[in-house]
Amino acid sequence: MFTHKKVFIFLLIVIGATSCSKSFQELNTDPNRPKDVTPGVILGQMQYRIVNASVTASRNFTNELMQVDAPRSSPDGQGLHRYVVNPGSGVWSNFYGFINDINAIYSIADRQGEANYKAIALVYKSWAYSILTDLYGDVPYSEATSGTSGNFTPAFDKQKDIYTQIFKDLDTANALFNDTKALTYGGDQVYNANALTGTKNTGIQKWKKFCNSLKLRLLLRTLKRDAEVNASSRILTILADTAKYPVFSSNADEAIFRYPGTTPYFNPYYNARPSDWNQGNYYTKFFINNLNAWADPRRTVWATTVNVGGVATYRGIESGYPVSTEYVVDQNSSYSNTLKTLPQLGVMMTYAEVEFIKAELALKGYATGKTARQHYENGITASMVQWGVALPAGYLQQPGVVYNASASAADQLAQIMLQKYYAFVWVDYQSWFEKRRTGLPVLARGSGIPAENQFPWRVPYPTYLQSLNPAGLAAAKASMGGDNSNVKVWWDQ
Amino acid sequence: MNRSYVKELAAGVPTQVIYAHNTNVTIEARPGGRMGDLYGAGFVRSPDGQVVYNSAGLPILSSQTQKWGNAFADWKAGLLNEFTYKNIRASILFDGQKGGSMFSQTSHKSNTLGKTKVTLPGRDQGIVGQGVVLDATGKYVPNTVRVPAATYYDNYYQILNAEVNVHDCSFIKLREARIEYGLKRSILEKIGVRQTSIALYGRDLFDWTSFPAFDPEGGNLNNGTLTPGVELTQFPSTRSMGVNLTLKF
Repeated sequence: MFTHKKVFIFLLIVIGATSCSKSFQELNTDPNRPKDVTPGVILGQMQYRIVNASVTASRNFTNELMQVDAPRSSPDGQGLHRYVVNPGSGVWSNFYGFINDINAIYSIADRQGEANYKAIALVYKSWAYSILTDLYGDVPYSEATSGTSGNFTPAFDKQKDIYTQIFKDLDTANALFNDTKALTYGGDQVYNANALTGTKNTGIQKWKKFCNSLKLRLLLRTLKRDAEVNASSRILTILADTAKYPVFSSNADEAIFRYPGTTPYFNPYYNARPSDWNQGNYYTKFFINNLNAWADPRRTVWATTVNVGGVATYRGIESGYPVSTEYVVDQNSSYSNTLKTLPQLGVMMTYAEVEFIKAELALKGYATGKTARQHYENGITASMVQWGVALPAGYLQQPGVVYNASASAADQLAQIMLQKYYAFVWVDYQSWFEKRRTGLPVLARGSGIPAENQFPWRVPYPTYLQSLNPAGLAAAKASMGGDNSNVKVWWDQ
Repeated sequence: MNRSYVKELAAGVPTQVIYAHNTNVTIEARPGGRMGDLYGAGFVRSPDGQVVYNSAGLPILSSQTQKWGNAFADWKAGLLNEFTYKNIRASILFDGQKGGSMFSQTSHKSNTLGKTKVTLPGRDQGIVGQGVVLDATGKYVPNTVRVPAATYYDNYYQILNAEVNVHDCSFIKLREARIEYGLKRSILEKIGVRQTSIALYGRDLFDWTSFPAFDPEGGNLNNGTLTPGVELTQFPSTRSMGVNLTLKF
């Protein structure tokens, strides 16, 4: 016993004497690895991945629901084209992942006093959350992405509160943007605001335009809730002071991640197999027939042709067809191979959209500086430029396209929204959100849609929340009045 | 024997999700339950427990997840018998398990594609699914809509439906049978061999189970962790047979 004690004391002394004290931190810091990350490093990869998520969502979700395309066969009676929305389809998981990155950019930039990174982070945050809340309604916002501080069950915020904060954040961002300073750590792949041109940073100027254009999109969306968010007076402010609140004024301003086509920043579809890319889905009659009627040059970028009696023809299929219908492979128009490597597929927000927003505002009597017709025509032209085709002579004057300024306001809006729908192709879920807001464009109901299926107003929450955040989910369900796809979100009510 | 209880979890963790296969099925530990409970969606049911159909004659899937089984067996057991008669020795090994369930993607896939016998009914004339429809007056009336078999089974066995894709994994297997013949020593001692035997054996010869896919002993590789309870189109296991010659010098 005595010897044991001795040994023990001896060991204590040895361990105590040899353990490090002062240099512990230093010894355990690897000099060969970066200790901290710069906002530029997070920004570039986040921009690429988040736009891939939104572009993929547009193809997999919006296109089928909004009758841009339909599956070749759909024997199980399901499918978005029959208004069946599976819980959690949508960008919930990946967007919340990216929001972690966005918050990291913001907090690191905040520590370093990098105003431009902070502002860019706020624009991304607002863009991502506006899509999330428009998809699901109430979503975790103020307590989201706080897992590192131990909160795994965030409360769901009301959509109204989220919108209020988004408008605040966009105002903050607008004030933060400093176009005399380059992004210190680079990383910007959307506007290349990494260097100055002369004494000005043209990239930052474009970020500022994106910031206000996004705000305009969201203000128009919440116009029905004018009293709660002061949407109309905020719109007036933006329209009145174009120097303080610049919006997109040309195609050069568009928020598009242009895929450089070099490793690793490829178009997400660059190596898609034909069976996944264009043999399982066809464009619909609704989508193709309008383009055919207008001899729209965007067809050549978007769609393949099929040989009908020796003539290369653009041909679409029904949407919401009966379960017994099945279309033969390669017999109708589908996604062109051009799109698989097209740089400008990475769309977040287009100049065309801003013109169509202004067209609607002009129609509603806001002073936008031009007539609704001028904005409408600018919007169509902008969409053509965006897709790299020339506006054919006489396109804007032909029947079906020519703007009828003497028609009723409802008919004029229908014209604007139809062209806006075409300009929205590949823009996340926007055409569906706008359809929910305006009911336009009018989409015929397919003959194979069960009578009780209603055109969806939202996406039900992912089912895994029932396991991981049951209390938050239950509160959100109670606040929204249910969790099915027939529940209307706040701005839709 | 396997008994487990989930008494409580760390603060702020309502349930521990051990494994999730997309949104189709999860393996969870929920307080009050057991380790390895399988959760997923099932049919919407009327108050008297019948499957509710939509107006197109297809069953409606609930968005509410429920427990459909547990990934782990209640008990496992084996029985080895060995008989010796003169130079012949025979052995036979049975083993099996009681309880335990598995979500089977093999079964989902082959059923939705109509490759299994359970999808035979209605192949010629279509099928009227057994269940009820909620009519305009809010009453449940029997479903009368006939749908093509391909549509019916494609929908019925869809991957989101854990209720029909989680199956009981109880089984009894004839794990090994072996018959061995030992040669007489006197002959062999002359050439310096002390002991010689020749044997016929077979492994995994028969499997008695109600599990619909290839093998109730399945699982998947979840980032390098062998996870039972969810089988993702695994290969059939093989029956092996052989001859075994033993020479001892």
